[in-house]
Amino acid sequence: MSWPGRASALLLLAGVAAGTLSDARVMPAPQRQDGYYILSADFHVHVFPGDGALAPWDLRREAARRRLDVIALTDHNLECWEW
Amino acid sequence: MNDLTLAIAPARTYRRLASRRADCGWGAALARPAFAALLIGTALAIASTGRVTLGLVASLTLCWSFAPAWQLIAAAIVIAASPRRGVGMPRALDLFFAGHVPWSSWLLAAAAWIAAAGRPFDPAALLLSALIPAIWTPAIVFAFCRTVLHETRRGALIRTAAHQAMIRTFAATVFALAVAALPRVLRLLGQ
Repeated sequence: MSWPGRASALLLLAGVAAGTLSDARVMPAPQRQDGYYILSADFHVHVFPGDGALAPWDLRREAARRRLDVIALTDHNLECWEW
Repeated sequence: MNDLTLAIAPARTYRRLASRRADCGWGAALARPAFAALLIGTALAIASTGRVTLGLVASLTLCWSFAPAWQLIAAAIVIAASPRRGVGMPRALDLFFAGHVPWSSWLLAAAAWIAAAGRPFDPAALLLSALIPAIWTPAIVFAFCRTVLHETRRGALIRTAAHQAMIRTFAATVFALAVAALPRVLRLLGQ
């Protein structure tokens, strides 16, 4: 690989390292009010290997970061094969 | 720098690179496809979450590595079908993947675009912009076939078309499976 190739690969890896070090872990606990849990949810989420980009384990982490307590994976399935 | 000049003047750059007596092992031949996989992982991390972390990039790189792997197979088929080539398979693959700049640049630009635009995101303009690398890359593949594989104009055209057909059929199949296109089409036909 030429030096610009090496430089861009190094730049990419440096960006990933900086992103990893600056990434704050967020694992919020659900809010509670009057004895009830208040949950935030997204019931329409796509995942890899469907038409989403993220793998389920990454999606779970990302949902926690966005303070979502519940997500529903709603990939395009083959339900219409049933007819 | 070779990759950039290759994107701008593919025929001239391939001629210069192919004339060099540079030997290339399989490790070096797989460096560019590996870099392409890493780039895809990074671009998807930026586009999906706006962040790049080691875990996310590693996971996405692994999940989506089937894309560069298929490109590698398609390139190997085209190269193997050219008996007049003056370079060995590893070197030919390395030279082939040096033509990644249009798609790599588009991927990174698209990721930055999606991350900056926020949600909801209208993909129409983005998909339209993909026409640039989609037209640019066959020109590079054609130059590769002409200069590295020593194919005639007709032979290079056939190989470029075959390569693009393999790549695009694969992409269309993956997309169709992801969005369950077949049941949708059957349902439409049934109505």
